[in-house]
Amino acid sequence: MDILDKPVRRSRKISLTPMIDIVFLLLIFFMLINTIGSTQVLRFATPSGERKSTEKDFTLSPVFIRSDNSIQIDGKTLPVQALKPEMEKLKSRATEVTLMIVVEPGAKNQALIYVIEAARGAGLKNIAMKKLEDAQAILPSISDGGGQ
Amino acid sequence: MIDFGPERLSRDYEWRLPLISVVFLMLTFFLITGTMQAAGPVKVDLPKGALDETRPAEAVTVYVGADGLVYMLDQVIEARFAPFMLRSYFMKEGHRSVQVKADKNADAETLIDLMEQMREINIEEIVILTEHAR
Repeated sequence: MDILDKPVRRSRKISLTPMIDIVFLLLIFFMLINTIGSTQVLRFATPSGERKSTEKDFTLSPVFIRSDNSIQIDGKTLPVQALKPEMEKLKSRATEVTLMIVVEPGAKNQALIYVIEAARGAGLKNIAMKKLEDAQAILPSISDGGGQ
Repeated sequence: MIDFGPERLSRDYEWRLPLISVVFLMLTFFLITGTMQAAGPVKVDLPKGALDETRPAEAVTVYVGADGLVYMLDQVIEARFAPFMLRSYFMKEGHRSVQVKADKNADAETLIDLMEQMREINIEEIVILTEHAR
Protein backbone atom coordinates (compact mmCIF):
# COMPACT_ATOMS: atom_id res chain seq x y z
CA MET A 1 0.00 0.00 0.00
CA ASP A 2 2.93 2.29 0.65
CA ILE A 3 3.72 2.28 -3.00
CA LEU A 4 0.29 3.63 -3.83
CA ASP A 5 0.62 6.47 -1.29
CA LYS A 6 3.84 7.83 -2.75
CA PRO A 7 3.34 10.43 -5.45
CA VAL A 8 4.37 9.23 -8.84
CA ARG A 9 7.27 11.27 -10.21
CA ARG A 10 7.08 11.68 -13.88
CA SER A 11 10.18 12.61 -15.76
CA ARG A 12 9.50 15.93 -17.46
CA LYS A 13 11.46 17.02 -20.49
CA ILE A 14 12.02 20.73 -20.51
CA SER A 15 11.41 22.17 -23.90
CA LEU A 16 14.47 23.92 -25.29
CA THR A 17 12.59 25.90 -27.88
CA PRO A 18 11.83 29.04 -25.79
CA MET A 19 15.43 29.18 -24.62
CA ILE A 20 16.69 28.98 -28.20
CA ASP A 21 14.28 31.73 -29.17
CA ILE A 22 15.56 33.98 -26.41
CA VAL A 23 19.20 33.25 -27.19
CA PHE A 24 18.60 34.04 -30.85
CA LEU A 25 16.90 37.29 -29.91
CA LEU A 26 19.82 38.24 -27.66
CA LEU A 27 22.27 37.35 -30.41
CA ILE A 28 20.47 39.49 -32.97
CA PHE A 29 20.23 42.35 -30.45
CA PHE A 30 23.96 42.35 -29.71
CA MET A 31 24.88 41.94 -33.36
CA LEU A 32 22.84 44.97 -34.31
CA ILE A 33 23.79 47.37 -31.55
CA ASN A 34 27.48 46.57 -31.27
CA THR A 35 30.26 48.32 -33.05
CA ILE A 36 33.17 45.96 -32.91
CA GLY A 37 35.92 48.29 -31.76
CA SER A 38 35.97 50.18 -35.03
CA THR A 39 36.32 53.72 -33.73
CA GLN A 40 39.71 55.25 -33.08
CA VAL A 41 40.81 58.51 -31.54
CA LEU A 42 43.20 61.30 -32.42
CA ARG A 43 44.09 63.43 -29.42
CA PHE A 44 45.04 67.07 -29.53
CA ALA A 45 46.40 68.99 -26.61
CA THR A 46 45.44 72.60 -27.16
CA PRO A 47 48.15 75.21 -26.62
CA SER A 48 47.50 77.50 -23.69
CA GLY A 49 48.42 80.75 -25.40
CA GLU A 50 48.99 82.31 -28.77
CA ARG A 51 52.52 82.02 -30.06
CA LYS A 52 54.15 85.39 -30.50
CA SER A 53 56.90 84.67 -33.01
CA THR A 54 56.28 83.04 -36.34
CA GLU A 55 59.54 82.88 -38.21
CA LYS A 56 62.57 83.20 -35.98
CA ASP A 57 62.69 80.11 -33.84
CA PHE A 58 60.88 77.61 -35.96
CA THR A 59 59.98 76.81 -39.54
CA LEU A 60 56.41 76.96 -40.65
CA SER A 61 55.60 74.53 -43.42
CA PRO A 62 52.22 74.95 -45.07
CA VAL A 63 50.21 72.05 -46.43
CA PHE A 64 47.19 72.96 -48.50
CA ILE A 65 43.92 71.11 -48.67
CA ARG A 66 42.17 72.37 -51.76
CA SER A 67 38.45 72.71 -52.37
CA ASP A 68 38.53 69.51 -54.42
CA ASN A 69 40.21 67.74 -51.43
CA SER A 70 43.55 67.45 -53.20
CA ILE A 71 46.54 67.89 -50.89
CA GLN A 72 49.47 70.06 -51.87
CA ILE A 73 52.91 70.47 -50.36
CA ASP A 74 55.37 72.87 -51.98
CA GLY A 75 53.03 73.29 -54.92
CA LYS A 76 52.93 69.55 -55.67
CA THR A 77 49.67 67.64 -55.48
CA LEU A 78 50.30 64.43 -53.58
CA PRO A 79 48.35 61.22 -53.13
CA VAL A 80 47.56 60.20 -49.56
CA GLN A 81 50.25 57.49 -49.55
CA ALA A 82 52.96 60.00 -50.43
CA LEU A 83 52.12 62.41 -47.62
CA LYS A 84 54.12 60.76 -44.87
CA PRO A 85 57.46 60.60 -46.76
CA GLU A 86 56.97 64.19 -47.89
CA MET A 87 56.35 65.31 -44.33
CA GLU A 88 59.42 63.47 -43.15
CA LYS A 89 61.35 65.61 -45.64
CA LEU A 90 59.70 68.73 -44.19
CA LYS A 91 60.68 67.63 -40.72
CA SER A 92 64.31 67.24 -41.69
CA ARG A 93 64.51 70.85 -42.92
CA ALA A 94 64.82 72.38 -39.45
CA THR A 95 65.17 71.42 -35.82
CA GLU A 96 61.65 72.56 -35.06
CA VAL A 97 59.03 72.44 -37.74
CA THR A 98 55.44 73.46 -37.31
CA LEU A 99 53.09 72.14 -39.91
CA MET A 100 50.42 74.59 -40.91
CA ILE A 101 47.46 72.88 -42.50
CA VAL A 102 45.69 75.42 -44.66
CA VAL A 103 42.15 74.50 -45.59
CA GLU A 104 40.32 76.02 -48.51
CA PRO A 105 36.54 76.50 -48.39
CA GLY A 106 34.79 73.30 -49.44
CA ALA A 107 37.55 70.94 -48.33
CA LYS A 108 36.21 67.98 -46.41
CA ASN A 109 37.02 66.53 -43.05
CA GLN A 110 38.40 63.26 -44.46
CA ALA A 111 41.24 65.05 -46.26
CA LEU A 112 42.08 66.92 -43.05
CA ILE A 113 42.32 63.64 -41.13
CA TYR A 114 44.63 62.17 -43.79
CA VAL A 115 46.99 65.11 -43.40
CA ILE A 116 46.91 65.06 -39.60
CA GLU A 117 47.61 61.33 -39.49
CA ALA A 118 50.47 61.64 -41.99
CA ALA A 119 51.98 64.41 -39.88
CA ARG A 120 51.70 62.34 -36.72
CA GLY A 121 53.19 59.37 -38.55
CA ALA A 122 56.13 61.49 -39.69
CA GLY A 123 56.77 62.59 -36.12
CA LEU A 124 55.68 66.20 -36.51
CA LYS A 125 54.56 67.32 -33.09
CA ASN A 126 53.40 70.85 -33.78
CA ILE A 127 50.41 71.14 -36.03
CA ALA A 128 48.42 74.29 -36.69
CA MET A 129 45.19 74.24 -38.65
CA LYS A 130 43.96 77.37 -40.33
CA LYS A 131 41.39 78.45 -42.82
CA LEU A 132 42.89 79.98 -45.94
CA GLU A 133 41.83 83.52 -45.04
CA ASP A 134 43.33 83.24 -41.54
CA ALA A 135 46.53 81.70 -42.87
CA GLN A 136 46.93 84.57 -45.32
CA ALA A 137 46.62 87.01 -42.44
CA ILE A 138 49.46 85.27 -40.59
CA LEU A 139 51.71 84.63 -43.53
CA PRO A 140 51.04 86.88 -46.53
CA SER A 141 53.59 84.88 -48.52
CA ILE A 142 51.17 82.03 -48.91
CA SER A 143 48.55 84.18 -50.57
CA ASP A 144 49.59 82.77 -53.92
CA GLY A 145 48.42 79.34 -52.79
CA GLY A 146 51.76 77.84 -51.90
CA GLY A 147 53.29 77.79 -55.31
CA GLN A 148 50.31 76.59 -57.23
CA MET B 1 5.13 -12.08 -36.60
CA ILE B 2 8.30 -10.08 -37.12
CA ASP B 3 10.05 -8.93 -34.00
CA PHE B 4 11.50 -5.43 -34.45
CA GLY B 5 13.11 -5.43 -31.05
CA PRO B 6 12.67 -2.78 -28.36
CA GLU B 7 11.33 0.58 -29.42
CA ARG B 8 14.12 3.17 -29.84
CA LEU B 9 14.02 6.20 -27.64
CA SER B 10 13.08 9.42 -29.35
CA ARG B 11 16.17 11.63 -29.71
CA ASP B 12 14.78 14.39 -31.83
CA TYR B 13 16.36 17.03 -29.56
CA GLU B 14 19.89 15.90 -30.34
CA TRP B 15 20.24 17.76 -33.62
CA ARG B 16 19.57 21.04 -31.81
CA LEU B 17 22.44 20.76 -29.37
CA PRO B 18 25.25 21.80 -31.79
CA LEU B 19 23.06 24.68 -32.95
CA ILE B 20 22.57 25.90 -29.40
CA SER B 21 26.29 25.59 -28.74
CA VAL B 22 27.15 27.66 -31.80
CA VAL B 23 24.56 30.31 -30.98
CA PHE B 24 25.86 30.56 -27.41
CA LEU B 25 29.41 30.91 -28.70
CA MET B 26 28.35 33.70 -31.07
CA LEU B 27 26.46 35.41 -28.28
CA THR B 28 29.52 35.25 -26.02
CA PHE B 29 31.70 36.59 -28.84
CA PHE B 30 29.48 39.62 -29.43
CA LEU B 31 29.12 40.26 -25.72
CA ILE B 32 32.89 40.31 -25.23
CA THR B 33 34.08 42.07 -28.38
CA GLY B 34 31.34 44.61 -28.75
CA THR B 35 31.22 48.06 -27.29
CA MET B 36 27.81 49.45 -26.64
CA GLN B 37 27.28 52.99 -27.72
CA ALA B 38 24.37 55.25 -27.22
CA ALA B 39 22.79 56.29 -30.46
CA GLY B 40 23.87 59.79 -31.36
CA PRO B 41 21.54 62.63 -32.26
CA VAL B 42 22.65 62.48 -35.88
CA LYS B 43 24.05 59.81 -38.13
CA VAL B 44 27.74 60.51 -38.53
CA ASP B 45 29.88 58.75 -41.11
CA LEU B 46 33.29 58.93 -39.46
CA PRO B 47 36.40 59.62 -41.52
CA LYS B 48 38.74 56.71 -42.12
CA GLY B 49 41.92 56.68 -40.13
CA ALA B 50 44.88 54.53 -39.22
CA LEU B 51 46.15 55.92 -35.91
CA ASP B 52 44.60 55.06 -32.59
CA GLU B 53 45.62 56.81 -29.41
CA THR B 54 44.51 56.30 -25.84
CA ARG B 55 40.99 57.39 -25.09
CA PRO B 56 40.28 60.06 -22.51
CA ALA B 57 38.50 58.89 -19.39
CA GLU B 58 35.75 61.44 -19.67
CA ALA B 59 34.79 63.71 -22.48
CA VAL B 60 31.74 65.53 -23.68
CA THR B 61 30.78 64.36 -27.15
CA VAL B 62 30.08 66.92 -29.84
CA TYR B 63 28.70 65.77 -33.19
CA VAL B 64 29.31 67.56 -36.46
CA GLY B 65 26.91 66.42 -39.15
CA ALA B 66 27.58 66.37 -42.87
CA ASP B 67 25.43 69.51 -43.09
CA GLY B 68 27.89 71.37 -40.83
CA LEU B 69 25.52 71.69 -37.90
CA VAL B 70 26.80 70.92 -34.42
CA TYR B 71 24.82 68.61 -32.19
CA MET B 72 25.64 68.89 -28.53
CA LEU B 73 23.86 68.31 -25.24
CA ASP B 74 20.53 67.60 -26.97
CA GLN B 75 20.70 70.80 -28.97
CA VAL B 76 21.42 71.62 -32.59
CA ILE B 77 23.45 74.73 -33.17
CA GLU B 78 25.70 76.39 -35.67
CA ALA B 79 29.42 75.81 -35.15
CA ARG B 80 30.06 79.42 -34.15
CA PHE B 81 27.66 79.14 -31.20
CA ALA B 82 28.99 75.82 -29.90
CA PRO B 83 31.70 77.31 -27.65
CA PHE B 84 29.15 79.36 -25.71
CA MET B 85 27.23 76.19 -24.94
CA LEU B 86 30.44 74.41 -24.01
CA ARG B 87 31.58 77.24 -21.80
CA SER B 88 28.41 77.19 -19.74
CA TYR B 89 28.54 73.40 -19.55
CA PHE B 90 32.16 73.26 -18.46
CA MET B 91 31.64 75.89 -15.81
CA LYS B 92 29.09 73.57 -14.22
CA GLU B 93 30.65 70.16 -14.81
CA GLY B 94 34.36 70.87 -14.74
CA HIS B 95 35.42 68.58 -17.60
CA ARG B 96 38.22 69.72 -19.85
CA SER B 97 38.00 67.22 -22.71
CA VAL B 98 35.80 67.28 -25.75
CA GLN B 99 35.30 64.39 -28.10
CA VAL B 100 34.36 65.40 -31.64
CA LYS B 101 32.49 63.02 -33.90
CA ALA B 102 32.63 64.82 -37.20
CA ASP B 103 31.25 63.45 -40.44
CA LYS B 104 33.84 62.80 -43.12
CA ASN B 105 31.85 64.95 -45.53
CA ALA B 106 31.54 67.89 -43.15
CA ASP B 107 33.50 70.97 -44.12
CA ALA B 108 36.98 70.93 -42.62
CA GLU B 109 36.56 74.66 -41.99
CA THR B 110 33.72 73.92 -39.57
CA LEU B 111 35.90 71.55 -37.61
CA ILE B 112 38.78 74.03 -37.54
CA ASP B 113 36.46 76.81 -36.36
CA LEU B 114 35.12 74.58 -33.64
CA MET B 115 38.58 73.54 -32.46
CA GLU B 116 39.86 77.09 -32.51
CA GLN B 117 36.97 78.31 -30.44
CA MET B 118 37.31 75.44 -28.00
CA ARG B 119 40.92 76.40 -27.50
CA GLU B 120 39.82 79.94 -26.72
CA ILE B 121 37.56 78.75 -23.92
CA ASN B 122 40.47 76.80 -22.40
CA ILE B 123 39.47 73.29 -23.29
CA GLU B 124 42.66 71.36 -22.71
CA GLU B 125 42.12 68.40 -24.93
CA ILE B 126 40.20 67.75 -28.11
CA VAL B 127 39.72 64.21 -29.35
CA ILE B 128 38.67 63.51 -32.91
CA LEU B 129 37.06 60.18 -33.62
CA THR B 130 37.89 58.23 -36.74
CA GLU B 131 36.94 54.84 -38.07
CA HIS B 132 39.44 52.08 -38.64
CA ALA B 133 40.32 51.94 -42.33
CA ARG B 134 39.86 48.37 -43.55
